Amino acid sequence: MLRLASRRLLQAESTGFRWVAANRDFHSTPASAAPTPEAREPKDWSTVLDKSMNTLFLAELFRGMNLALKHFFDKKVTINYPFEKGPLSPRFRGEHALRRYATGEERCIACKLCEAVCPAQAITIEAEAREDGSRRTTRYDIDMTKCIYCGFCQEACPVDAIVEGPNFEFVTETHEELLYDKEKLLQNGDRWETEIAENLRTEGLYR
Amino acid sequence: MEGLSVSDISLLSVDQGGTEKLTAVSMTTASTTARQAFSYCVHQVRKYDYANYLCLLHLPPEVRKAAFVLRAFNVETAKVGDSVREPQLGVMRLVWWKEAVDGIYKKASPLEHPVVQALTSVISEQRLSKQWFSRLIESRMSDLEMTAPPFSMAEVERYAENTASVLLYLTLEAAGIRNTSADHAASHIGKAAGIGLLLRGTPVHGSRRRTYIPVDLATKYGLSQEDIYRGENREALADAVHEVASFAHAHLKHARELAGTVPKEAKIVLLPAVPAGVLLQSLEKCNFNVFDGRFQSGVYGVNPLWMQLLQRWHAFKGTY
Repeated sequence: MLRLASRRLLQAESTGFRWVAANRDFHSTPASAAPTPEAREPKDWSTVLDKSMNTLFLAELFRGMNLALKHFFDKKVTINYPFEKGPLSPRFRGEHALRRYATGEERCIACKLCEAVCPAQAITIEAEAREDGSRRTTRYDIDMTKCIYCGFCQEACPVDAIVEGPNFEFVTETHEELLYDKEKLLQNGDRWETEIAENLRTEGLYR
Repeated sequence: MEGLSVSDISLLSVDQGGTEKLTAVSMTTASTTARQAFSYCVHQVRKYDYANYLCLLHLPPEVRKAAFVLRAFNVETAKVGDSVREPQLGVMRLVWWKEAVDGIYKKASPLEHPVVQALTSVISEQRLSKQWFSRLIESRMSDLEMTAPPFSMAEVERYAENTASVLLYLTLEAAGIRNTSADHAASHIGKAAGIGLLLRGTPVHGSRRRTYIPVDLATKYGLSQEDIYRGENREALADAVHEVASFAHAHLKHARELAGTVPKEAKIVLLPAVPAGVLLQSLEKCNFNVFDGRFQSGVYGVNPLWMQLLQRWHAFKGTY
């Protein structure tokens, strides 16, 4: 029964094939049908000898191992991260800091331009006049989890008070620790002042 | 790092060979904050504008104080353009400066910026016209908002006059000199110095995709904006730079022709003509190639000591 069915299928296939074949003619032969003489490798003695030598002496294996050995002596591209760090651009925008003048007076004068320009609305400032009449911030908070590190606050600041310093290692365990207040920002400024001043330095005037 | 306090001022008088003490009279009356504000100004000028810093050292003490503050004001407003990526943010900062100057003239309590504080004290002592400050800030604003290079040399000259000449006008005012030919010479010297500064900054401007080489000159020599930005097509660039520099040179020459009519005390104020001339000379020496390392090094391409000696010589002879 099974054999009968399969034979019938075969018959159907063969008839079908014949039907399909009957629809073609050989006046226009497809290009791919033309026999290609290069398809088969020429087998002369030198090729055979080369191939067997390759196999016999494990040439490919040694070539591969040679490459591995070369890379072994090459300069390493990896660095030992916490002890070594990659190069940083002077324009790198990392952790924020509030700077002071050399006299120790804080630069920020509570003009609130950074608060206005911040696209993530991460900065909150409250200000009042001091006893000596100068206007200073009483509160300067940055939500570091809202911040998108665009650097607009730094660019808007007319006194170069708020800057994004070169520090990129300020991970914390809790969200609350990333809500920076003025004290923390000033501390950052004191700690990173040398680097920040060096990064902000430009050659001179150009306009 | 910014604004050394007392040591800065004493250093200033050392620079002067101990003959003139900058602060002996004027600063004893000022409070310590004013003193710190002035030393911040001096420090900023020395750091960013060394050639003019050397010029200002030759001024008589009472003018020198005002001149340093004015130059520091220039430094602060000029730096804005280089420190922002978004022109709108730069305009915001300049509006802040505009309001600060308005506040000074309205006798409001000065903003807590050392330069604003120093400017307040200078303006309370000497009469300085507000219009020059407004012109300076407004030209810097329109410069920031500029999207295409200037169309012709006239625009570049206007910018140079509104930034560099204005400072000389203000310094002349602070020195109490009201003389038409002094103002005339200041206008030409400012233009020469301003154009020179723009030429010197061409590689830096190019890296920010800006240029001050006017479009009509660039097309005359078949120079595309892209060539200027990338520093390619050096021959054509040198031709265009030569032509721009010739304008500056003509202004300087004109100013020096006026020297006979300029009063003696004004000549020392117009000493910035010397670095402007030096800049153009060193540009000529490197065949008007603004990308040349020799032109970009030192103070306007020469040794700082040589610059200082040259200025001293001119100050001694009473020329500029």
